[in-house]
Amino acid sequence: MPSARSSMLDRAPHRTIAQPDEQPAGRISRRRLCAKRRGAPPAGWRSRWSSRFGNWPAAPAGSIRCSCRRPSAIAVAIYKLAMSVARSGSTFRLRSFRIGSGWVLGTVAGVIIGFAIGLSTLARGVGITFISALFPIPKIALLPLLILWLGIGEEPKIATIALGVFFSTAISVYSGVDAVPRNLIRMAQSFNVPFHAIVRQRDLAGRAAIDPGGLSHHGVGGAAAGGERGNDRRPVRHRRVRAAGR
Amino acid sequence: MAACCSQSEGRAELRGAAPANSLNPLTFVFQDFALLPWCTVEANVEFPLVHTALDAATRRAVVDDALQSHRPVRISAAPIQNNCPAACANASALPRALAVRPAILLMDEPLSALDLQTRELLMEDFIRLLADGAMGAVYVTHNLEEAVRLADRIVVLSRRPGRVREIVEIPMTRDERGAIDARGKLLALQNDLWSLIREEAIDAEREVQHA
Repeated sequence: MPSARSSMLDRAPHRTIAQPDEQPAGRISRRRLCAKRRGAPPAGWRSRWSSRFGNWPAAPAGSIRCSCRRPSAIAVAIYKLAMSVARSGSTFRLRSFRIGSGWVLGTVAGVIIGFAIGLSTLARGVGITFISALFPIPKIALLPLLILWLGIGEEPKIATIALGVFFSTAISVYSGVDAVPRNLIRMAQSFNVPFHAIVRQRDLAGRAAIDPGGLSHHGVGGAAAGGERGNDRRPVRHRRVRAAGR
Repeated sequence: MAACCSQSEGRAELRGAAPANSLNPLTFVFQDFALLPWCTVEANVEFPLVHTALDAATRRAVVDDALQSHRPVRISAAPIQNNCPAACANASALPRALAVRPAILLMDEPLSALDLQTRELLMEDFIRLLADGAMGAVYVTHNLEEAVRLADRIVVLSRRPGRVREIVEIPMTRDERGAIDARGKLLALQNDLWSLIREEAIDAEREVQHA
């Protein structure tokens, strides 16, 4: 015996609303074809634009509303987001400390190691092995491995960020030092310029002039690491387990 | 000779004492001029002086003197950048070398990147610089015309490994070489030098083609 609901549905008449532009698939109406030949925009462009920007003032009443917001609404949302971040000050401070300390540690170590590899033959002999192995790997791909090694807790988070920043910084600094023309070193040596002055003049100034993208590289790495860690206070391992469905 | 790399054997000795006011007795002028592209012309000339005991005012005076004693150039306050024309780069590199008052100037094809007119002008500058005998020069070139115009003594080197093949003395002063009747003698010298190196030049060309 059919239920009351199904019987009501069965009894309901199948009503269709006749649409003036409705055409079988693959056919163009005579009116649209004429408009197209005259060079006028095809019929319906207003409705398409109004459906994209449905809630803007120019949209006709009753049209479909979509998710595209007014710029003023976006600005209000950003303001509310900033206010909510400011209200949760302790969280913000914790995240800033975590990201900042990890970034500083990784950058300092990366700059020192990068300069050492770039300037010293001995350090290059040892360091170039690691550089060659790590250079083809996207730096962000190392982070899951580091998470596996370091586990949960606040310090491992900082260390993860620091290591994420370290490799890209070291490679970037080494590449920058290595990219400076050798003839400038020979020139400075021929004038008996002291080693520290060569490093200061040639590498710092030369690097800034020749390879300005290098220092921003590790900034991106740091931002990526910070973004990965900063969006959740819970340990990373917890999130991995949750993502795995356990 | 400029101590840019260590020698495999033997040693280079400077005969006699360097001038008392020389800051760098052996000074190199590089083929590509080796200028700091992020510095101005003045900063490039001042670069070897910054690390000496000279104070800022003295350095300033030395830089001005070096720039003015060389062919006067229009000094730009902007960095010279990597696309600096060869003549501009030379106008910075030579005063930089002269600013340290060298005893011997080591020059590695300093005119090879220049156009003919600029090269002629700079050769006149070199002749003027070497005229008083206060400064010596070792000039490496593949251009035989430059060699016979500038040198007192030409050392012809073989291909790899570089060995001294012959030492040719130029039997006239630099001033005499400017005379019209000296052109024939210089051309004969040039032909002699070319006959010394021609076979090796052909071998070098073949090597490049089959590389």
